[in-house]
Amino acid sequence: MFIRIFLMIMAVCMWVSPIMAEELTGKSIIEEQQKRHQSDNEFSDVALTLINRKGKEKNQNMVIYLLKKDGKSKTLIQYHAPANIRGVGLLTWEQDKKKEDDQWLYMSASRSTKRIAGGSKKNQFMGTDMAFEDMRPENTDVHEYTLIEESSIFSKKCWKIESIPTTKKEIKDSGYGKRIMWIDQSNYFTLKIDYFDHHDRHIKTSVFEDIRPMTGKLFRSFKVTWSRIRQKTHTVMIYKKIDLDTVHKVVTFTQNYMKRPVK
Amino acid sequence: MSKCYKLIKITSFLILLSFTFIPMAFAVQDSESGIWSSFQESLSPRLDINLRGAYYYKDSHFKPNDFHLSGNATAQFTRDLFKGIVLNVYPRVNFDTLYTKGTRLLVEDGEDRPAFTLYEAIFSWYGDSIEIEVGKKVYSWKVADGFSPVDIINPVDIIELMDPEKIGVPSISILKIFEHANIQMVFLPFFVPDRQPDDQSRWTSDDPEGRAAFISRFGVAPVNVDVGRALPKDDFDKMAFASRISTSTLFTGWDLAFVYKYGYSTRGVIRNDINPFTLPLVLQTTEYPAYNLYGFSFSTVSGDFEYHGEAAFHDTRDNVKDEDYISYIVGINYTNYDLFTNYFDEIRFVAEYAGEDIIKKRSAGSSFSDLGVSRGLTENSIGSIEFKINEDHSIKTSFIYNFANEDSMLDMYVESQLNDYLEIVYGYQRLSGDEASFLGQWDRNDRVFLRMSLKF
Repeated sequence: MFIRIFLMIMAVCMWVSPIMAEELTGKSIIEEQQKRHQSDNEFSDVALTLINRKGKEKNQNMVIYLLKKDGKSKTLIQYHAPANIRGVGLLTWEQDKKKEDDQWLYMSASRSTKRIAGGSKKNQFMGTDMAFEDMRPENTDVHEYTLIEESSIFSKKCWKIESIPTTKKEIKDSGYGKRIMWIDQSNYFTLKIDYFDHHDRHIKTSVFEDIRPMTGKLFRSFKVTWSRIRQKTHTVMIYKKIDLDTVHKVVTFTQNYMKRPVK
Repeated sequence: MSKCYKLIKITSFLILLSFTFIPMAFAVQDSESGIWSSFQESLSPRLDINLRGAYYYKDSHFKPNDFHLSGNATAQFTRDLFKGIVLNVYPRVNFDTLYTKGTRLLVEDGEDRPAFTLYEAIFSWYGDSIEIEVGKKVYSWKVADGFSPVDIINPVDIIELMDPEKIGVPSISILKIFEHANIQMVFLPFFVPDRQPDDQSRWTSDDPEGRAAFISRFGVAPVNVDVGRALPKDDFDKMAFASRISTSTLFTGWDLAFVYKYGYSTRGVIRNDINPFTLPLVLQTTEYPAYNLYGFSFSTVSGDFEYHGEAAFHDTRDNVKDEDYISYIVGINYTNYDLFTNYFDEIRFVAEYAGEDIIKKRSAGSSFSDLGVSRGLTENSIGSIEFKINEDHSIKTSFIYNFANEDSMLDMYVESQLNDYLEIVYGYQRLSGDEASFLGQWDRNDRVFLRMSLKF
């Protein structure tokens, strides 16, 4: 009997020791998250519901293309509905860490494409509760991540991590002085983020639900809710489709592509 | 009595809108099935309806028509054909109280705005590194906000000078995509001129400079007689051609473009035939001189600012008819999110400077002159300030000011997106300056206006 107990303890130690051997830090958790959940190609068909403080709803529909190449990502967001914003597009090319990302906004009504200045990334995107910076990939080089504690949320065991911008540029350009993230220990997926401004006021929350496995260890949330605290507004994003298999062409992420008529 | 009649017309227009246009927009929004369900799958139909009403509260020098209503309805049908070819067709019905006449589908070279036309009709084929588009199309090569010297493919409808709109042109466009640049070549087999203001409309121009020169020479004011237009013949060897080389990756963070065009001036110039025996009659024919254009544009961002600029050298082939000149514009865009946050989501500023330098004047003794509606931005500041209250409502003011002649234009208006389908814009426009100046010649055209846009 004692031998059985001894062998059991040895088995547990062998299972736990690789994890314990590598010290768990906020940054290591985020990096593991990126390793697991980043995809080089992604297409999403998203239905958005914008809810104002009086409870009135507005519906929008957009598609999101993502391509990661040579370590940098390109993103195209195009609106398909409603009619007044159909064809409006936002194209983002990620640049090196020290450079500003390239961003263009295509206005279908005037058929004009304009570059967007970097200072606008804290602005809300097209009337939603998301800021432009919320739609960019997590940049671990300009943030410091601190593991605060192990916690529980939505009946799931989580790590609670604090993220603070560290560079002067990021502090200036970002609307967030701090973010608190709850990351599911079972799959390294983010379940909730609280956003704080530079005066440490809680300004926004995003909640990720309907999390489904896609391929391998990769997961995706099919419902995301953004809520701005002071304004009492919400944006609910329902992902009707997420495709990680189709390899997108580089031409999709060009200004010319944005000008093509949207069906 | 006439003022009462005008008031009745305005009131009737507003009542008509209240009982038809606006309820229709809200009814469509609330409907679950929609009226296009049976066509959507095969044709992806869309419909845009635009209505413009303006009340000019001052009498003009010409035939007054103080209230003007105009608009258009444009449908869009998209169909995938075969071998990756897509057809987009935009039939349009124009309507207004003054200028609309007839039907012109592909080549809109008439003087009147057609009642029925194809705004665009394009066969497109999109490959990985090449795009081909054939048909009637509206292009946009501009980077500036107020005025674009390099956006030179399409003629413009300036029947209502302050509400310009591009006219689609039959063309063949080939866009080749390389790693660091794109090259677009556009062939224009048919000449389409600008649509000018009617010679009895509020926006017709007295050509102040020409008038002053005539008086100085002959001691009497001219009496201009419009003989008509001398359009270039549509011969194959006179086909216009434009090309644009653009890059966004050669220098990271910069959009650069070089533009070339050979063609005919869509605005035109006036040939003045003066017979000393029939003074003060001046027979005026609009001609469209051939020219080459070499242009350049850039756009970049730095910090919170977007910078842009355009310049174009207009090299006329026959300097008897027209001048050689460089026109240019530079500007910045800045959006602030921290001012008056209790009232506005953002405040956007646009400031530009537009100028023109004449490189070579017309030959001495030339009987040609510019149209009064041409080339007014010679030393101008152009700008706008937009106060965005929220995503649905904003207040905007825009202006043009000429430093040399001190003439100006000021617009103040409100844009409101009432629901997903209906947007209205209402405001006030004021033109001022000396009667001999470009904008001041229309200082009788101050107006209040209302525009409605319904999109399905």
